Amino acid sequence: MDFLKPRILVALCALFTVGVCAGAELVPQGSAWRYLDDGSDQSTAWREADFDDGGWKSGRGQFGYGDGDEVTQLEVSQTTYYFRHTFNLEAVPDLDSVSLDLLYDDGAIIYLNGQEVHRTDLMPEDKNVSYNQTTSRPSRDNATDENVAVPTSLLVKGSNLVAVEVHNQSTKSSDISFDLSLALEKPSGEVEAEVITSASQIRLVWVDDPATTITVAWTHGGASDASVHFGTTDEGLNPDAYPFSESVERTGAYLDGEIVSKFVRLSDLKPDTNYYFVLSDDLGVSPRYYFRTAPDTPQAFSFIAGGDSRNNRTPRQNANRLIAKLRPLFVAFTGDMINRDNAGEWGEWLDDWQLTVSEDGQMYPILPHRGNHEGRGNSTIYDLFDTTPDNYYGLTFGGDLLRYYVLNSEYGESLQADWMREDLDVLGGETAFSHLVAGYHKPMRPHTSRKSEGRAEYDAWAQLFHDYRFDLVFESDSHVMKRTLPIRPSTAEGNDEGFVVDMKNGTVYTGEGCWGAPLRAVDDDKSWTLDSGSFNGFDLLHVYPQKMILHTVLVDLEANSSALPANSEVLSLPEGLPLWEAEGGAQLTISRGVD
Amino acid sequence: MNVASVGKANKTMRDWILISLRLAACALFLGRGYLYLSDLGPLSAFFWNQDLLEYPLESLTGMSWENYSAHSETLILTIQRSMGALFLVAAIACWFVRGRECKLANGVVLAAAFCLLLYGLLRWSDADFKFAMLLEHSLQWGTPLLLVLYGRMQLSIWGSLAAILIAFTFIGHGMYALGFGVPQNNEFVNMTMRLLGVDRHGALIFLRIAGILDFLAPALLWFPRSRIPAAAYAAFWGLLTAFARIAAYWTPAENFYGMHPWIAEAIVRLPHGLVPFSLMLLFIMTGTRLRKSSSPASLS
Repeated sequence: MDFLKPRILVALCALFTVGVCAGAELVPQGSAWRYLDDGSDQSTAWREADFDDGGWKSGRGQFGYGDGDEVTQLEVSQTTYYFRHTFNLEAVPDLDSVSLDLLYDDGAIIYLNGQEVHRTDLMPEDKNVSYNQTTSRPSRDNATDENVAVPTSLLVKGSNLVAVEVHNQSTKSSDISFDLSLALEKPSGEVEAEVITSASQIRLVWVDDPATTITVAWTHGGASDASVHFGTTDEGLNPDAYPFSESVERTGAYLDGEIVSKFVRLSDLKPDTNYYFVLSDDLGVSPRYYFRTAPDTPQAFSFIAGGDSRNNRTPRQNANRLIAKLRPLFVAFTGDMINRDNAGEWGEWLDDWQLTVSEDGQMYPILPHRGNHEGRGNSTIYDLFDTTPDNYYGLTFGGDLLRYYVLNSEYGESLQADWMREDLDVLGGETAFSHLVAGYHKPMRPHTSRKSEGRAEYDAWAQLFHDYRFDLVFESDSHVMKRTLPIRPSTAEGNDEGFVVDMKNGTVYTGEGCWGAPLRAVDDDKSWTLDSGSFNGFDLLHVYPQKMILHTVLVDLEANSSALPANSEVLSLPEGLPLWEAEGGAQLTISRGVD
Repeated sequence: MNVASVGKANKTMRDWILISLRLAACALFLGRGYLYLSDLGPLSAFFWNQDLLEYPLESLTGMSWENYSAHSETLILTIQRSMGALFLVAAIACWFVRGRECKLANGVVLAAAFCLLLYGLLRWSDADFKFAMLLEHSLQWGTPLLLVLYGRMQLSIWGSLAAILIAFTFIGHGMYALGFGVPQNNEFVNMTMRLLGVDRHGALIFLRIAGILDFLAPALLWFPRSRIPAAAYAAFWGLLTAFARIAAYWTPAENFYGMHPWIAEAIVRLPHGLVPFSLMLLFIMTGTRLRKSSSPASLS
């Protein structure tokens, strides 16, 4: 329970000053910076964009030493530390200023594109500061948080540089701290509202009909009388203005209550419609969010699939930020969200999931699959996401456009095969849907030799996928990426590990798990492998009645996400989106029954 | 039977116990060595633990975790393969272990046993520190230890140590079979369904019975009248469950390449049958009065 206490305090005490449009981050907190902590004199050239910082170290905020909360540890006992971070802008924002949030100890000077934009207290006011300049006295706190408005006139289209020098109060100082974020301020004229609620880590889940239902889930912070207020019109932060309200239907107590999740199941929604909502409890109201229900007719849509976000948090966060920009209908997460199935790791994961929220408050439902690192059994996913107790189910999108099967490769594969056959037979068999898709964690045939074969999955599901003509299957677990040709199970001569190519009626297998994971080498390609690679990424699907188009998005570099515009068209690829140039091209078209 | 013939029979039995232990340790080292050299070891569970290692990595080397996690596999595999080579050397060395003789062989086997202990701890940590996993691995690191200690301590104490390690392994196994304190092992369910041709419900009933016996057999090792049949059952069940992996997972869709980890996994588990077999021989040799047999086992 200890980890929850600060969260509860933060939730209860923090004032979130938000407008209807939340700020988009140009430089998020915890970003990667180049830095120098060797105590050398860098004079003034280091503030300029053309300065070569190739010899500097790199790391993520928060930087410092002595406080125990640093992500990147700096050399102790230096007088001055230098930091540089570059970000891209497609266009200079149409605002008067952007909001700079600075965490520092003991003093700092900030430059934007070579121009000084802020000098903190305790730094000399009217003189050039040398590399051995100390602050006038120690700061009173461990670290000071300061917000500064920076004129947008200093920004340029394209590459922008933030350079920061942080000064110690003496070389005997016990600590130093630095982190910085830069965000677009609210559009002028928006009314600010104070938002307080004990709910945190809000997420949406689809378990039932995605056209008419959704589950709103959040981590409980101790307040009572929680409910979700929603409607098709944006009523801002006024709960009473929303026409509908639902209270908590189930409470999930993960690890005997180390994370308590509340679930509100909304039903009777209109298909293909935006729903705006706020959470309220006896402490206050959450920010306003919205989601879009799935269409119930065969309309094109996009979704994202991938898994394995353990042990490499930066690409995980990059991937999450891309979700916010690509605006998929939903995200299929194919397991191993965390490394160790404990409250601390889930707390971080659920915090990071908030990065998927778009700047206008749109949230995207998740289809959570269980992986082997969800090691406490099926109850983990059930208690955190309110899925079915055994973590497998099927959902239909766009009328008869696509049916997606969330499968659990850690539990009863043959049981799920029996259920899937029965389910598909009841729904009309292999011709009932334009596309059939499945996702699960353990791959049948891993593309790294470091993983054993997925025998149970192959035996239970491979033939079924072929019999019912599944178009596409998402796998995970291996920390690599692969794409196969359309294949079907066969032990006839010419098979490779039990599969042969069937360009007309085969199933494409993709993925293998790289949402933010340490990378394994791909050294186990098959004759039917289209391509494989070792990088972090996820699959982006555009679904049409006659075809699905698959792209794989690269997420290793933060610049990849920060360079993208905040509002991408749903069924287009934003310019600059980093894609895997796989064999056969970045785009793979999957058409059932077509050679 | 006169005293001389009893002594001769006991010496033969002691030799058989030693051979059985050597065979168990050799199989264990061969199997684990093969898996490590095939890059199917668990070291990444430790070396890719961001919560544990990010801070020391960045503070000691200045290297970012992202950079490390993208490029560290080769280093991890090098360490893992080195351990695999040590296991193969130990597979040979264990045939030279004989009481206090041949210190080099003892040293190699103990060093490899230490690596197996690390392996058990890594699996334990990878399983979110579930007690059942820690217990189940007892014979994996304990078998080489039993080999080295055999002939160096009183037989009664050695027998008790072996019985404790067998009990830990069987109880850990039983916890996974029953889903007692841990999620039920899905692999156990799949293997049972394949081997016995039963549905999931039938497999769960079978595992319930097998799981209860996993608790019962180690307890019966401590009662004079039941210790020999209990050790015989444990030897039978240990060998059966070891080979079950090959039988259950054999499929025409996979050639040797697909099966090789399971063959190695079966070989690695041979001590689960051979150590109880050694204990059974000891019980037969000492009658049912193990506690009164206080003389050190002479291997000369």
